[in-house]
Amino acid sequence: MTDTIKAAPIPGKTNYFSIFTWAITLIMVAAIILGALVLAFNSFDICSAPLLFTTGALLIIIFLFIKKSLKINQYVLIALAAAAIISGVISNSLPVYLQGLNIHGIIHRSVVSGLLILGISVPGACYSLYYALRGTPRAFDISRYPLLIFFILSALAAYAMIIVHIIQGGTFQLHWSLFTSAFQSQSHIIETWENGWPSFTTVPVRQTGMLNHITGTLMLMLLTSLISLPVGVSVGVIVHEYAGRKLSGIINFSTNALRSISGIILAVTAINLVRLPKLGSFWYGVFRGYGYDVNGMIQYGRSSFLFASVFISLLVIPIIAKATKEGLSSLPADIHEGSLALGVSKDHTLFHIQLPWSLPNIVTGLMLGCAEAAGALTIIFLLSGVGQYGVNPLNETTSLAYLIFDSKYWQSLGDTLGDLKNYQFTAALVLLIITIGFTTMALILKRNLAKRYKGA
Amino acid sequence: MIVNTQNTNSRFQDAVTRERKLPGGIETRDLEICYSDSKVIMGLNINFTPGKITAIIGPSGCGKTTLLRSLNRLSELTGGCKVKGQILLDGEDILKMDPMLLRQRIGMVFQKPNPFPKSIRENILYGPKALKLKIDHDAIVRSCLEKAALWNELKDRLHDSAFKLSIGQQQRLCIARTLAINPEVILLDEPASALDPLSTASLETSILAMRGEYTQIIVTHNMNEARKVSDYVAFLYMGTLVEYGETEKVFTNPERPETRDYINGKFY
Repeated sequence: MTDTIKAAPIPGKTNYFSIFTWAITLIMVAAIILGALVLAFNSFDICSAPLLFTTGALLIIIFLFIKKSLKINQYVLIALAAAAIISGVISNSLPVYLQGLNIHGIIHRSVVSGLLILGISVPGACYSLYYALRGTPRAFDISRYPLLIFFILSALAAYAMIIVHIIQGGTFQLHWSLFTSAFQSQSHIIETWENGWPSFTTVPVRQTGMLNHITGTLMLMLLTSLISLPVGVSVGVIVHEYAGRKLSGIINFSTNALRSISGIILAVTAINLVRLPKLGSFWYGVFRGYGYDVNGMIQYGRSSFLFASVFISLLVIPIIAKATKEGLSSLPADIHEGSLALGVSKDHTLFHIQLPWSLPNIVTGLMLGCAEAAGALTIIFLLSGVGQYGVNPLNETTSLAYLIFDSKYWQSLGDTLGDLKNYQFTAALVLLIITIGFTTMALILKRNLAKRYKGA
Repeated sequence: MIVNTQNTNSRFQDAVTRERKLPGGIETRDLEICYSDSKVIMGLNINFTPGKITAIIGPSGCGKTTLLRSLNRLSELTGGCKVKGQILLDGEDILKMDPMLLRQRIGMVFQKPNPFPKSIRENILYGPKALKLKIDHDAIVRSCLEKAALWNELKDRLHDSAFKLSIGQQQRLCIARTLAINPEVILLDEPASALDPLSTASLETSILAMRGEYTQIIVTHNMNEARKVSDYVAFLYMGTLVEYGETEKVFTNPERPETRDYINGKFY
């Protein structure tokens, strides 16, 4: 491509060429934006054929300016122009709906024409930018920017779409009382005496809110951290410091294997374990989770917070162990030996030099673990319930993830479950805020720890 | 020099209270060090005089560092290192001592400065705090930094991270850190190899200032440094002791031709 350096500036016409190519670059960028709009909204499809014809014409104009020294580069350019015109014809001749007809049609042709526009205009922008910058070696590098920016934006667009969707749906239903009241759907049985006979009337106790789901999510995070942090850190330390090559190999392999086990397999084990204790026994309560309803009756759930967090910990421990091990091995051997050379014991070195050094790594592991706890879908789906009888380690598991998952099911139940069915997006938004909040906090903590214990 | 003749039990007492000690003498008898398949040191007999500075010189790979690391049993941490023979610290076999207690008596300064990721003050107090020595913290920080010729430079920034210091200052801080637990012997493993000439000069000053108070064994590649600093020189070649004597004598009138060649830089 560097051969064309001489081709770009033509004596006497240099200014025109430059202005033309800059203008064409701008039009190409506009074409990219329009192409994205065509992909997003089928109503924009009317502009796709004219857009493609214009693109082709502009590429031909560039070709005419630089025709004097025809190189392989220019052949590509004219091929692109030809492709633009051909795809303009194609997009115009496509049926409006690709599958089915008219009212039954399901795939609009903008799916194809939008892709065609992007496929032509992105390299078109690259080419016109290259000639606008007069084909210098630097222009060769810079002309790749439209392509890179396009890929970056299309990656971000997916995230943006998810976040905009959730914020849009979530804020629409947002109400303060959701965060101050816990969800309840119970019947209070009231016993009255009439003419010497007891009569029972039931009064429904209904309350809409997600306080119990929010505190449940936090409870899961807390319990999971409390269980998996000491175990994970110990495993990491043992693997790095004390275990021989064979033992550490075995532990390494099993932690990696545990990490790669799908959560659903653990969940299946969990729901079988939960059935083991006899009804009414101590372990039944501990495994199932229990609470008392408005009538003072004991109610068992699917599984307790404690039980669920033990199982989530099985997923989190390998993460923390690995992070700890990496942190420990990032400590220069010199510093470790320097401590031992002072006659300080291995344990003291571990607690005062090695672990403080690897704290940032451990925090990262814990952060990933908490995210896992908040959204460990399979385990939560199989082990959670509505959790309306309170939030303590022995109550029934509930979390925002369960609320999001189950609201479709609740919708099918009609209005027996109150207004909560509408709050799927609100729950997703709150979960998003909790996760992002924790991540930010962990990042700040990590930076401070690194500053304090690594002197970085 | 007075040789310490206390028994093991009172050594343990010393480790707790850390009374001021006399410089200790180290003697090796038929010392053999081998890694899994190769012998690094073969039959070494050497007597490091208490309170003096002994330089160990020799070409790369002759076992200088291995010898030094085996004197405080740090070589045990490397897998596959076997030590045969005897190393005596004040007449006591170190291979039968508790390695932790031994290392409290034999401090070490490494080739690359290795301050702990803590503040300057905490670096010095790390040893005394870990060993639970009952001493005045401020006083020990001051005296150690003064001995390492750092006090004037650092007295206003004791709470700064040790990583912010220059390489030379870091190395002298490592010396100060070693002094804080009051060892009898200090091993220096090429302490100036990473330093610029100015830092080397101040390092040498602090080494010379500690003469008489501690037995110092310094491994070096720098002939000038060995000549300037040491009282005795041991020339090691291929794991054996070729020549050992007073510095002036070894440098001006060496007994063996290999020594003369090495000192004059004609060694192949």
